[in-house]
Amino acid sequence: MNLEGCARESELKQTLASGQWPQAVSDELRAHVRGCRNCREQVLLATAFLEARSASISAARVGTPGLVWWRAQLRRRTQAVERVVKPLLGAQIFAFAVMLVAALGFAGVYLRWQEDLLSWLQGLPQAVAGRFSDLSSAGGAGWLLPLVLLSVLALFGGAVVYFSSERG
Amino acid sequence: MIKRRMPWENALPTPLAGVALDAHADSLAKVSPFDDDAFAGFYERSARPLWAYLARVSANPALADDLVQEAYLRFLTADRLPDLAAEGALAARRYLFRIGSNLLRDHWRRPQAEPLEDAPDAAFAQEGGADASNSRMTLGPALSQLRPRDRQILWLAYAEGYSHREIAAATGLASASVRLLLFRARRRMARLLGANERSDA
Repeated sequence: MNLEGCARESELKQTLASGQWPQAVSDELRAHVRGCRNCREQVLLATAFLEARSASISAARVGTPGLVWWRAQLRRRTQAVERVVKPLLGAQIFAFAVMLVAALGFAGVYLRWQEDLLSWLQGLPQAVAGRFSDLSSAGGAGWLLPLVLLSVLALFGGAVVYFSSERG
Repeated sequence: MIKRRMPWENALPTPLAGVALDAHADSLAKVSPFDDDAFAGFYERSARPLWAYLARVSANPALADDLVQEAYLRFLTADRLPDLAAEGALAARRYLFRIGSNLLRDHWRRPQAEPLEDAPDAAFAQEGGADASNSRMTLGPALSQLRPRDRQILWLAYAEGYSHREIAAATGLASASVRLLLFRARRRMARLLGANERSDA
């Protein structure tokens, strides 16, 4: 098996590619091809493939370049939209996750503040009944503070989404 | 062109107001070395050879129709196209053939796709007609007996005149592998062509 091929292979390839084979080549090269298996194969394949290429090119069914160009512009636009929306969605998911974790954290802290949850629930109706003056007392401040903090956190989450989308 | 923004757009994040899209489109225009006219010229010169390559290697002209369209779309939306001024149209063409080769490979990898060995080669098996030369008439049946990769490298080498290195770049193979694969494929193809011509005679 000789992978290197014949020494005259490149010369032969040039004549084949330029369409000079077989009329415009020397008798000496033709005689060499007859006696060289490697070059004979080159000629056989190149002739067959170049003829098949010509036939296929004339039979090719291709669209207009304008249509392809327009479709490419459309795809570019779609890709640009996807690139913008992806980080925005990520920021929203992140902000929601932060909110959720913070809410659970506040709930945990709040429950620890309450020595007796049941007593707090019993005291809740009175607090809601309108004794706002008593809200600063121990029972009222116990549930009002987490609500205020959650509200601040909600505003903060909105700002996070806003600025994340601004960078995206 | 200065684009006027409505007052309410100033309150929106810039991506939502469309500024990022415009900036992105501008960056694409800077990256792409083609304008409409340059692309039209390139397309006229390269679309038919690309179709011929895809149709012959896949033995499926309908598939080639689709792949040519997709190859140009990917070509035009690629992040880094070859620079026509610096590298010339040949580099762009090689890049296009590389995309086409990748699309063919993806098609063959898809499980729902018909294996190429089972695909009918009727489109090119009886081509030509009474005036077609022997070698062209026998190429279709001979090609159908080769592996898809062998068809690819033979077509690129003998129909497109690509060097080993260019074939390697188009197919993703190592250059040394291309040399060996091409040698074997050429031997097999020559045997098949010779056998077909003898049987035709």
